[in-house]
Amino acid sequence: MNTNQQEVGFVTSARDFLAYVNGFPTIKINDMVQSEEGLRGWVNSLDEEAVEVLMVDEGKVTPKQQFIRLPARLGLSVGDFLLGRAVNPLGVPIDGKGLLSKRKGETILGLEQIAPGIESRQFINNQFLTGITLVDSLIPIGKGQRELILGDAHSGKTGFLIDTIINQKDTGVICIVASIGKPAVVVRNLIDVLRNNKALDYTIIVATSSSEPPPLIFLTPKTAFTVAEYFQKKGRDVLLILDDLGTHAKVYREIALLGNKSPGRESYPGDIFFQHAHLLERAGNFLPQYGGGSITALPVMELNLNDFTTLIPTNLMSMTDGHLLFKATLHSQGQLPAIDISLSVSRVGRQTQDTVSNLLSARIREILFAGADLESIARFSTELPTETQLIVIRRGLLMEILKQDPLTNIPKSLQLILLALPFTTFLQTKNRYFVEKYKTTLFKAFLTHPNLLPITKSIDKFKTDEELITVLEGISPILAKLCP
Amino acid sequence: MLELLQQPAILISSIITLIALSLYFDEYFERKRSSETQKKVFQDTKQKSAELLQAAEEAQTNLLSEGNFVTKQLIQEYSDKLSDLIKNSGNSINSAQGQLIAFMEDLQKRSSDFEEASKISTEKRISQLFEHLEEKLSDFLIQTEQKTATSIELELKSVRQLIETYKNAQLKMIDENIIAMMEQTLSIILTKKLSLKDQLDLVYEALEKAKIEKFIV
Amino acid sequence: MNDILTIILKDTFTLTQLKTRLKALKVYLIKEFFGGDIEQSPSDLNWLSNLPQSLYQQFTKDNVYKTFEDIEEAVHTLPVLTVYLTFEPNENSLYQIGSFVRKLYATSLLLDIKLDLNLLAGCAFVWKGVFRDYSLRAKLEEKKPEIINNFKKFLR
Repeated sequence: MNTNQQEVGFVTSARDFLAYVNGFPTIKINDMVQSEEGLRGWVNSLDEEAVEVLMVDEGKVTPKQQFIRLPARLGLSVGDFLLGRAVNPLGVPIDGKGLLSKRKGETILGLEQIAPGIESRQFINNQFLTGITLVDSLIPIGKGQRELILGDAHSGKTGFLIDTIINQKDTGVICIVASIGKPAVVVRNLIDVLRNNKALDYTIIVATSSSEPPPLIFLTPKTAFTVAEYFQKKGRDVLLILDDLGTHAKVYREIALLGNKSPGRESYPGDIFFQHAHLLERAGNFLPQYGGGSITALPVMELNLNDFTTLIPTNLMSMTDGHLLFKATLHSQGQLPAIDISLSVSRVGRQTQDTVSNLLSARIREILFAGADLESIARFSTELPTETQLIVIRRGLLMEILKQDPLTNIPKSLQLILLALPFTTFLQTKNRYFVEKYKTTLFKAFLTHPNLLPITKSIDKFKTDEELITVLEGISPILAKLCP
Repeated sequence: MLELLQQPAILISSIITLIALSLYFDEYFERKRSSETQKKVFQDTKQKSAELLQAAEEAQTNLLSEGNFVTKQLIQEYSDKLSDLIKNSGNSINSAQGQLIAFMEDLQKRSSDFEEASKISTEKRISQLFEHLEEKLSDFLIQTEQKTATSIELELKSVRQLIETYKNAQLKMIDENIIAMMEQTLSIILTKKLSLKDQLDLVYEALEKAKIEKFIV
Repeated sequence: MNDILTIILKDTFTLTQLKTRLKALKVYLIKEFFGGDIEQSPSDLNWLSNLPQSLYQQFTKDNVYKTFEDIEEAVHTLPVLTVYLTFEPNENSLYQIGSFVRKLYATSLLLDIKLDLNLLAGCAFVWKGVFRDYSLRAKLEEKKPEIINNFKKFLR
């Protein structure tokens, strides 16, 4: 009569989404259980007396209810059918487009995976092109890097991320967006924007709205990483966006406090660092024996910019390979993307850039920072020596070139050309309004004009930025004619 | 007179009239001389032209007589030559005509032969073609027949299979329904019919069984 | 304290019974010692009157709360067998089942009776977190193909 046996447990106490269940002699952490009424939960921890179960379905759990053990562990079925769909952390589609896959027996991967060790990692030497000049030239990101997106509210972080996704069209990169606890309207908007820009075919959205049970919200980034690892093991490059980890930390705090864990700094539980670190460690660039692909993670953190020394931002900054700081003040001044270059850093990106970009970006940084100091002086005096004036003018030109409207994609070769132009005599006499006016004309010219197209195409052949600047000097008469 | 000569105007005018008179006399003698020479020249020319005219007339009559003689000779030569040519060409035309006629006859014969031969061969070809066509058509028909037959069979088989699966599924459902119905009937009956004693007996039995199977220690 | 429990357990077989009886005892004792005006049901009073005097003597004003705490702790350690029945047993049948169980197994075994009509007849047990079905429903599931075959015999 062995088939008639089953492990069961009875609820001894329950609080909101947390139930303590007595029974289940051989249960393990991350197993799934289900109540008599069909509410599912997963086992978070095992005490002597009781099993701590976090409910992922909404409903009332009363003491003395019976829970049965489900054969599945915490996981979801992954496959290529996920592309273009929006799912919740347990793999249930939420975009109303019907079943994910008609076949049964798809691979089911557990949400909790141990991050691969050092022996499986490969040196990061490919650049991850976002299509946005500011990032690709001055704060480059590599494939497999973790770059924290930090910023206050309404500073254009989401816009930047959407642009990055749309600019990965036709590059073979798969994008996964984990929308953690965002309102349902925001998720809907995201899906619509991506569909209108034909970016949905290579994107997967894992979303939980803020009204779902906290345990479900807590699982979102784990699901996102599991799906990312599936594609990485097939050799694909994956872009993973976690929006945002601040909400994730708050949700974890709620769960831990309800479970009577001792609160630590800012009432977060003591293992909050572990929760984020062991997630982010699953990203990286992997050797061919371990699948070969890469996972580039862009965790997002929204904070109050006057104080980014609170616990979670400092934690995240220490476990990522750099950060991009978005400022709302820059956003309202009209600089898009609103990244503060002096406070942003990319620790791994430099090794992925080619020599020309490296040299050029060093030059640009020099001018930007020298110019920043001089700007205040320039306002007061018109009798500056020529070199200083040149620096100020060049800084203005560069800032204007670095501005980029949303939903635009500038390929790498054009970025280099546009950034090298302020060092030629053609732009030396012009000011930023000229650049503002003619930026699109120059852009189109370098893509279509018969004399200029060869330069764009042969951009890889230059060895130093000096060569590029000399070549651009040579064609300045053509440019002068195009921009009267 | 000397007082008159002392006046300059009268002096000058008298000098002028003297000069004019001398000049006039010179001119008169010159004119006379030149008219005489003119007359002489005129007479010489007249004589010479009369001589020339005479010579020219002589030459003219010589030429004319020569010319007549030569033209008569040429006409004679040409008429001879022309009659020769006409005779020759007449001969050649006749011979050519004869050849042409012979050739035409030959051609006609050949063409009639050819026509006959070609008629025969076309007939043969057409009959061959027809045979070939018949063969091919019959082959084709047989093939199509076979193919349609096999495809229909396949369809039938698949349809039969579908029916089978459907039947099986329905039967299974019916079975389950039967079981469910049975369970329901049982539940209604047993709760009413089974006495308390029976229920308790069942419980005791279960407990004992559990003890035997070491389920409960 | 332990003997108090043993005395009580002599004719209490289910967990619910135990808890209600303990509560009744506590209320009675508190009324006795500290005064108060709480009504108790006749069945409770009946049971309370059946308790031996030696039991009551063990309680004094000072140790009443502490004793009850100890009793409750001890209750937690008692083994509990959960039984699913198709009916709600009355006092008498409960007594019968309880004594049978006590005879077969340990004398301090407690029952937890639950109602489940889906078991058509018989009962199911849960012991130490494992669920085992001894009911008619389970038997039917097992014998399903045979039953279906038997039915099919009636089909033409």
